[in-house]
Amino acid sequence: MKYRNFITKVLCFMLVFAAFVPYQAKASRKAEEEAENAAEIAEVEAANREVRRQMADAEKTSPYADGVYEGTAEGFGGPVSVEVTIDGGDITEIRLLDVSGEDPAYLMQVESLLDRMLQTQGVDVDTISGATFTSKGLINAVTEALRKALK
Amino acid sequence: MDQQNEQVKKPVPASVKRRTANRNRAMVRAAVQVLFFVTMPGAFVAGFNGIKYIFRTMGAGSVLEINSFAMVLIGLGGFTVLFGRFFCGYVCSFGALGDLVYWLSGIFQKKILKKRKQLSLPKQALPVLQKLKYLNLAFIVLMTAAGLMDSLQGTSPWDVFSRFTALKLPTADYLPGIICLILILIGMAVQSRFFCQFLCPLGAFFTVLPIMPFAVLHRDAPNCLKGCSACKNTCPVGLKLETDGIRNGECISCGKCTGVCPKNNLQYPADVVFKNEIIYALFRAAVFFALGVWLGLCRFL
Repeated sequence: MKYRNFITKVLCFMLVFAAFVPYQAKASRKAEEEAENAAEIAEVEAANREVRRQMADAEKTSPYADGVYEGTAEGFGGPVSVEVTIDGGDITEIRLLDVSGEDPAYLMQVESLLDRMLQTQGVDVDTISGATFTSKGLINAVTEALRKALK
Repeated sequence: MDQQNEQVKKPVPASVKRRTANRNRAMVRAAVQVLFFVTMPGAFVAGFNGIKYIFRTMGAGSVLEINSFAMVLIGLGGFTVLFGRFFCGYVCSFGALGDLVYWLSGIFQKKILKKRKQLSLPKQALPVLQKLKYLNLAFIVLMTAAGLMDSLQGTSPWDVFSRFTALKLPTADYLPGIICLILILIGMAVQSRFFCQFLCPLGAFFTVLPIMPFAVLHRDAPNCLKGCSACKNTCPVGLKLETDGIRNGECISCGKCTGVCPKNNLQYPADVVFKNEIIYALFRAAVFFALGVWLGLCRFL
């Protein structure tokens, strides 16, 4: 019949989508278990950070001077610049200043990088797969800002 | 003096009208290709990143999320289901590059080498070679799922091309990719849409999408001139338009066949609404431009 080609392809796609459902269920369960583990680890890390912060406050051993610092590095399509805020010796905020050379689709992917750098209080974070150059640009820009913040 | 007033304007022959209309169609298509080349050169990379994202995630056993990569894939796929492979024929910067290289190669061969017909691969070879892109897609997909893509860093000709469109030179670690790109450019000079037909993994994905029947070119076969093969001779992807029917997934919706048919037998169903090819093409271009801006593909907006 006339639409045989179309209907065959539609049926194939429905089969493929049907296969996604059990996969998602299994992956969700695995993600839940990992999240429970990660919550425990985060609690321990938070306690460690608190101890370190108290030690640093007592001895003022944070390497960074309080203030607002700008850093620039090469991204995928041009320079990217960020603004890093140091307060009480800790990195409290990281803002994007100029990312006009990056495609918005990649920027949305790397937003989590900023959160991770705040959580770990540093730049030792993994790049985002598929957005390597944008990720590296952001990490290097923050590194440059932190370099300026060194006492 | 009265003789001048009595002069009647000679009617323009249908063949001249057709050729003018075809040239207008070709110029509009070239203009749209330039527009998307300048504003969204990375569209196919973003779309293919969506496919890689799905398989990378499934290879790692993680939950699939509708992130920006997945959205681009859904957007491109949805657009193709509704409008056919207009993306391939009008938007994709790599396809536009292929068209440009083949066109320049033709001019070079005819004007400087004085060849009568432009060099191209034998037509019988095309259906076989067109299957190669499925192997390419399968290879990349398996490597991505296995998490081995990092070992192929620097080999992708697309990454090299993306560097150029970002107005940057590729660095030395891109050497395998540069060589690949040069080989592809050579291929583009000897066969129309060389990359699209034989290598493009995103194109391989598009060929299996169920394109809506109202978006597919129709041919009024009973009305054809006997022995005419104008449409299949002009098709850049070697479709045997008489026997394949244009439901063949290889059709890139470039519209060249519609422009060359002496009986105007090739039409989109949408032409009932849009009256002619050019307006329908501009409509689809506008829809895709809005979609591309929304998906974050346009660097300027």
